[in-house]
Amino acid sequence: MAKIDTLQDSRVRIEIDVTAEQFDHGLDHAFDKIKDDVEIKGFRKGKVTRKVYEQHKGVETLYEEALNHVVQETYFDAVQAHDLEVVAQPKIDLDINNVEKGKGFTYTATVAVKPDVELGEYKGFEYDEESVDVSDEEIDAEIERLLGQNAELVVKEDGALEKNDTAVFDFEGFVDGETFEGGKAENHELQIGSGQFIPGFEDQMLGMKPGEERDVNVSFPEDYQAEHLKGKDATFKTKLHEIKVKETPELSDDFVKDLDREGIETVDQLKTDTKATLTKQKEEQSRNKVVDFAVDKAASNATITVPQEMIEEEKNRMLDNTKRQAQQYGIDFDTYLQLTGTDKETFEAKLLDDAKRSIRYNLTLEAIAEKEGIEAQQEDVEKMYEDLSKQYNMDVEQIKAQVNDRAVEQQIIIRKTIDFLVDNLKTA
Amino acid sequence: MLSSEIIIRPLITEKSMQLVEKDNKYTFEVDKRANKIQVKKAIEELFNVTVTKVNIINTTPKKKRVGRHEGYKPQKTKAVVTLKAEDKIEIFSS
Repeated sequence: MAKIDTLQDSRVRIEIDVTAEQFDHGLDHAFDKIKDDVEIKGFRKGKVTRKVYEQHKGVETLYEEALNHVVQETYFDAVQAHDLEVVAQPKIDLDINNVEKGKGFTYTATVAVKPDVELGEYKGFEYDEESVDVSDEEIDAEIERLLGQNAELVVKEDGALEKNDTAVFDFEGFVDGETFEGGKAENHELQIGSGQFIPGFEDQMLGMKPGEERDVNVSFPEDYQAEHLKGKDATFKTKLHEIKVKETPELSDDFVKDLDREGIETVDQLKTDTKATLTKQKEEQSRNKVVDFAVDKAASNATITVPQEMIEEEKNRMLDNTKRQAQQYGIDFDTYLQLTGTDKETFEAKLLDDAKRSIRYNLTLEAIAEKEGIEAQQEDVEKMYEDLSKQYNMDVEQIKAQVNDRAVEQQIIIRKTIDFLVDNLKTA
Repeated sequence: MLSSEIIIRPLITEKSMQLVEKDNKYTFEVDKRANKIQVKKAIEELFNVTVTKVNIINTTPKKKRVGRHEGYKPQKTKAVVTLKAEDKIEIFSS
């Protein structure tokens, strides 16, 4: 029924014969499918008989639909019969002109199959594990950051504007004696020294006192974003209302209580907690690094020729995922690209790279799992379902209905294989 | 009149197809001037079958308007021809 040729790069060409009966069946199916939309005088929609339809429109109009159906059926049959592990959409080669009712025909399908993996060395790489110790300085820095986050702006009663103070002021800008768009604001808050304004602006405001008015003369930089203002000299009339300074809270038990974290009431507890959090972060980072290292080593030692179609398909899947995610945030894909500062080509090239790597990793891991006899046990599967149900806050049964057993097993195997690889690293 | 002048065309519609299947009755549009006997002879001659019964229906012409001129669509005559049980007419076969 079908003949198989193995081509290079893990591709397979299947030659499939279709019998006249199979094609007839396809025609029947095609007519069933389209008949509800056929309009012929004297018949209501969907009531046309097959014979009348063929007399009016010709049996050829059914071919395309019929071929789709027949090809799909025979193709999947062939794939199953030969136990092929197909990894991409097949390319069907079929000349519609050779097809005729009442006769069989032959077509070929070229498809990428799962490539063979020739494993290289994957055990016993040397790896220096990073220390996960958290130093006192790191804890202090973290707490300092926390204090900074909780700093409040307080009005400075007297004194002049200094660096790092926040000025509350009105301004109105003139270029060539004329006002311009965006050049005016009232009660604007600006931290002096933050560099948000045109260079020179903030410096010239230093030393102002509340209530004081001052003219600030600056020129717009050549690379300013507004075209008509580039390189122009401008005068800003400013009036300072208030000066505010950041007041960082003292590190005290009271401050810790204000943070309102469960079970943490004293400075010492905060320190212990911070240490625990930081340690956990570091452990995660270090674990990720080890995993990356181990998998990457194993994958780069393995010889795999990944068919291009497989990569393309994975890439498109990733692209769709990204698009869907962007949509969930209510932005379209183009805006997403702009926000992340890339364009379509670079983004797709990056995805292509990612796809290639992820396929290589997965294939390698699968191959290792097979070689080492790593399997998913029933209890692993059950545990995974439980974890999932906790994660999504759903019943185990509900989860089971939605996810595919095989996918879960696959994931467990991959995870176990990663563990296996990491366990087999040597400390240098 | 010639047989081919009497029989204008077969009427192939949902209803006429039903009649074929159920009662071996075939529907044609025929010349307005023809009578049942002429229709019977014409069908027998053209299709080489035996007719057992002919029913004729004169359709009411529909009113048609073109601008302010009122007129009628041409009046038609339908003939429902019953054949002997074993006879068939090809164009209707479904």
